[in-house]
Amino acid sequence: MIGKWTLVVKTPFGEEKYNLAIEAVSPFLSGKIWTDMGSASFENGKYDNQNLEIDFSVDTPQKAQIAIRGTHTENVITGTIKVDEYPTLDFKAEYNNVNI
Amino acid sequence: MSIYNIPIRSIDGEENALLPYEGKVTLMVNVSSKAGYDPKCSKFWSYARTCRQFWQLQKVHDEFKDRGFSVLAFPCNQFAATEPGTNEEISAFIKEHYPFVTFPFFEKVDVNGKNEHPLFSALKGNEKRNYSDTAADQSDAAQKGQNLAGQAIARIPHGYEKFIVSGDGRMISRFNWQDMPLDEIPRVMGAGWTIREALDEILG
Repeated sequence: MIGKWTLVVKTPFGEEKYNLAIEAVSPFLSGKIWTDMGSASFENGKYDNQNLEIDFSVDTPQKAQIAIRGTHTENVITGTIKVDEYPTLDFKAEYNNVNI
Repeated sequence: MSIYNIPIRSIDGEENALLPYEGKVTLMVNVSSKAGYDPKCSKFWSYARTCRQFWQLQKVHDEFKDRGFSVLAFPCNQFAATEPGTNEEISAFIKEHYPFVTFPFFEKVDVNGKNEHPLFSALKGNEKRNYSDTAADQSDAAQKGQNLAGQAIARIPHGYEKFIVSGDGRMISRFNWQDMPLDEIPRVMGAGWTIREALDEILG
């Protein structure tokens, strides 16, 4: 699971691609998520029985809490992303390689 | 003349759809359900930012509705073509992607220009905006009450311009798109009060 992933979020305005790097799984899930426009790190995520929970906050482009919930199966993670209290968006992430 | 007497359809085509709000305080806002805000802004964040506007509008709608208040939304495609659909398509998009919204929507309108709806002519009146979020603020033209194109700053420059209307149909206060409904502090050079402060005062 450690390594680079390509994460695609389905938004009402179309799909959008993000890079996801998972740097550690235990004791906490940590890494970063980024695009050309910016990045955010996470440190205290949970990974248990193939389920992952990642929560972090960002200040730009607006202050917001991000909550990612997913299920990991081999080279794919599927799940949802939620910004603040807004409706959840579906995502799918595919594993790229182990070089971060 | 009361603003509520201006003929306009609901998004579902019902005629004279403002009449039922006579006697209520309302917040009228031009909206676009696909607002991108900035060509460089991502689809993800564009949706989040549009959610933020609708979410906060819904919060004030819920907070004050039992005191005789409603948010009224008017889709408009004049800002970066972010509301391109028909009324039916807009209504379906709102229901699917902003399911938390319950305040009423009206037919798609122009809010500026030769085809602007009489409702927005009445809302804008002859008053200049308190400030502009365009570069016109810094220009000589702005000092004369115009933007760089020589138009009165009374024009609406962006989606989510907010107008509070009294129960007898007078425009009471105008807010910029950056004035968020749940702001706790008035914006510098803004209307001088927050939207919630204004509603609390006007509703008594």
